Amino acid sequence: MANLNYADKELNLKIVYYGTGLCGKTTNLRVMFSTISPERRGKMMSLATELDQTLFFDFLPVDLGTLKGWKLRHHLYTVPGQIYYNVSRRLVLKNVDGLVFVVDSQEERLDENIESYNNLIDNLKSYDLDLKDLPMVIQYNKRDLPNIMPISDLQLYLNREGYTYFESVAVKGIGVFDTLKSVCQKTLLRQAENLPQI
Amino acid sequence: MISISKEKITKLDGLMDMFCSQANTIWAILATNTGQLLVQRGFVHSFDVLAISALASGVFNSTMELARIIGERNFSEFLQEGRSYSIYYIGVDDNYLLVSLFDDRTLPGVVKVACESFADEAKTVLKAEA
Repeated sequence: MANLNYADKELNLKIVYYGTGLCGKTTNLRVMFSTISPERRGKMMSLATELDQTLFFDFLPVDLGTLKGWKLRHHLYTVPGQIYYNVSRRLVLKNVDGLVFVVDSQEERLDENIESYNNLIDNLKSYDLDLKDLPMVIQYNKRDLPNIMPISDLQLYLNREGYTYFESVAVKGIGVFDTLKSVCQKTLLRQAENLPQI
Repeated sequence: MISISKEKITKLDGLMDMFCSQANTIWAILATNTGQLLVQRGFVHSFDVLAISALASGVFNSTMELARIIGERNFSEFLQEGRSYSIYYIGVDDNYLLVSLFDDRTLPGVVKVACESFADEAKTVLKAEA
């Protein structure tokens, strides 16, 4: 839930990167951490297993300018993708303001992508939230791999609602900031009408 | 959207000063239950406070989830006890969390009482109309 702090003139927003295991959620945050100047981002924190899979969440705070005089601080989180970490995944979704659904574009990961998408809907329901009421962007990741599905097919399976989407190769930084910019814009747009001018 | 006015933050600052002096804690933070920092006190500058807030919120929310799974409603405060340092967590209303770090210069019982007192008073401030 967005938090408006009048003392610090700061608007805090929570953006969650969701998706199946090893689809590239953490990679997105790592690229941002290594690219954004230290003055505009905090430290990245990862709670990961020995195999580098996210155990609870990754966290990266970034400052992205001002709006109506408010300093904008986005708290970026990832969820653990593995199926057995659903409770942790649900906890990270608590009070989310904006979503990025990261898709592994490889053919053999389609079922897992669909399962993760349905799991997102279910977990939001546990907070009485509906996906259609939240700003969301889809990122089709790993577009450099040989066995990927065409975007048109992925759209049919995962994006019938017509969310804004981006193709990406997160390990090379491609599409990472387009996705971030888009989800931040959509999230801010949703908050803007309730945001008083300072 | 949670909106915290400057007046409320000033009142919370006052409560936090009183809390830190009563409990003799090293530092304390008041954050939303999603880890967004509202008020901080003590030697917080030697730590990455944003990371602490996010982690503390994860710890608190996962403990609350554990409580829910076992059918317990009252896990809203707890202690992490270490050799040199300990941390006390308490939920403030449904949306906020007080986290305080302390060492052997104070007692867990003193911190607990001060935390509960802070939580009661902070609830009133946070619930009041802006």
